[in-house]
Amino acid sequence: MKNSILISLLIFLFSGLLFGQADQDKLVGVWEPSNGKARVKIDKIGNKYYGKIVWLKEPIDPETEQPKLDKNNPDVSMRSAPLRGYRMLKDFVYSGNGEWTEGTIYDPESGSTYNCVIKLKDDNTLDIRGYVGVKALGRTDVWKRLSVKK
Amino acid sequence: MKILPILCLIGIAITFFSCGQSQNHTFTIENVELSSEGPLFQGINTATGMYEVDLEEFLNSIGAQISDIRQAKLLSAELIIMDSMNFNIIGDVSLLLAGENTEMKSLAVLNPIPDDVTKIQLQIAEEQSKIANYFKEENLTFVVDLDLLQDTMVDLRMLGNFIFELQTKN
Repeated sequence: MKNSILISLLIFLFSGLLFGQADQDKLVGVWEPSNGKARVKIDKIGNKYYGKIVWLKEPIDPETEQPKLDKNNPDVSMRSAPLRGYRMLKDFVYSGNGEWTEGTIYDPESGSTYNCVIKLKDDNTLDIRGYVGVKALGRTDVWKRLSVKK
Repeated sequence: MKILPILCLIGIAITFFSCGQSQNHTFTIENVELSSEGPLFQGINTATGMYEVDLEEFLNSIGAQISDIRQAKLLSAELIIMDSMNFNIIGDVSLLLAGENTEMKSLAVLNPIPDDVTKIQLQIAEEQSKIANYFKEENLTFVVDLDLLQDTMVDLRMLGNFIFELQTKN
């Protein structure tokens, strides 16, 4: 009797861990911002989540006729980095309830980095809120998962 | 009115003495294996490699402690591609560093990569802040984002050699 209770308890705890892991990894995938200009692949390195640009609607810079570079990077020495491949989401930690916090988002069009919170609205929709200082004063964009789960 | 110059002098003195003297040391991390499991498809891919931070021998040799490290800077980053490949299959690379308690930073880039080479030296970022925090981690993750120019059915493996300058208080 004691053994069966112990086993049930272990199964309960283990399944809880598994479901928790599955929840946080729902962020992993390829996502498209509302403007449709890019696609961002979010992956996990260690215990944190990071997103890199893997596709650009307009990959060529009309001024140079070459692939777009991170030309607005505040560090001039890093402006030769290509925009396709750039890590624009960094250091997100799962904080429960479908929310990832403590991360930053980089806006390649301004070269600015903002604090950011990601909220999973449903399996295929993210609210990405960038802000400076106070979360309430930020701006939210809706990102859609590229390959919709069936 | 006279108190302002005196306060300024006190401030300068505090700053000077609190900074104290410092020394720069070179710390090398060699042969970090960075890999990405194949098959890999054309486009943006990532190779990662873990380094277990062990500064004990180094700090003993310079008579310092971990808390003495004030600043750190990446001076040089070299990547060597393995398995008889060359870098012709890669268009560009970016090197980033990540730690459990330290935010990820872009530290070097090379775009484009010269033809027919198996070893590359990356261009190092001029702005490097809070790099010293990485050396207070248990593990560092070296991340190489790369643009693969063609599909490859095998793993991609590289060796990374990195030279840091660590500034310690004397």
